[in-house]
Amino acid sequence: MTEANIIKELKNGNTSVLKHVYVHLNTVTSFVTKNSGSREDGHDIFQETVIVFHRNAIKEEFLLTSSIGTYLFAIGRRMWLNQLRRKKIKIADSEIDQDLTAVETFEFELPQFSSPDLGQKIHKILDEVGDTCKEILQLFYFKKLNLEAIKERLAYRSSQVVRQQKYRCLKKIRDKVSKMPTLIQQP
Amino acid sequence: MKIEEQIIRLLENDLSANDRAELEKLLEENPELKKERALYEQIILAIREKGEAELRIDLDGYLKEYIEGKERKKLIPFNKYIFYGGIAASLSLIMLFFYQTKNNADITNETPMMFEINEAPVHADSATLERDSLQNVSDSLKKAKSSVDNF
Repeated sequence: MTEANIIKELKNGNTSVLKHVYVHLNTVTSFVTKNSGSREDGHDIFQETVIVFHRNAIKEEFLLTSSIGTYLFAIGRRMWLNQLRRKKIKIADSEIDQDLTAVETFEFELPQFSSPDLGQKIHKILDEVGDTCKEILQLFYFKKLNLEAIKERLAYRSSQVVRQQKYRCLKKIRDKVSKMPTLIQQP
Repeated sequence: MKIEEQIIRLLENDLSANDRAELEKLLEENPELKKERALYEQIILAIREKGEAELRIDLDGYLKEYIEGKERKKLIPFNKYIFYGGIAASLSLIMLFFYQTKNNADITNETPMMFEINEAPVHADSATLERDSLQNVSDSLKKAKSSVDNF
């Protein structure tokens, strides 16, 4: 499978193509093991790297200006260096200053929840609102498919129907969440 | 459009610049609506997070599959000499098999003809030779007898 096809499939919501990026596992793992990390650390960093790659690849404006391998290495390398900095482990400055101009900027982390257990509680509610709601919401907000693509995929009459269904599902979750006391804090 | 729907579209960046500005002004003035926006923001974040949590499970499977595949390959390392030697040996065996099969077919088809063609002259030749040699012996004996008689 070509790299362009991998990106195309990810944009179509097909995450199983991510198995093809594991050929780059060793590049990231080697960097970690050469810089005070274990093989397991390398694998953990690679898994997080793939998540970040997916998060960015499905964005409408995403344009890969290097190979997937270079992109993954750049993310993994920066992630591991951040982790070392947090642990206050020093490594050679040359490693930190190394420039990877071929790689675009990328989003690392999702924003945080206002209360620690709110995320878990909404996850639970998501499992309770039914498969159709869960699927529509995940296709739209997680896989970033547009209404037209969801209409095709789930055989809805029109994208307007999808929009209405999505709204009803969100409202259902909102009503359940608002019944939970003191979870939402004022921003 | 209901205000809740507008808030959702605001979070999805799906409002025109005018509608957006208008709604943001409204949110600033109304803390209840502001709270509503925060609530939907958290719900959308949780949906994304849940998606990623499920993707992580799939990725663990891919990682395991990849590592196991690599370890299997390590157990039987690729050796070009063994690989090409194996191909050569296989080809030789196939050629030998066809050669043998062809020979057997030739023998089966042509055996009667060979006997017909070859056997007769061979028998004829050996019979002639036998007869000739017997004749020679007999002639020699006759010559010897007549010489004895003359003597």
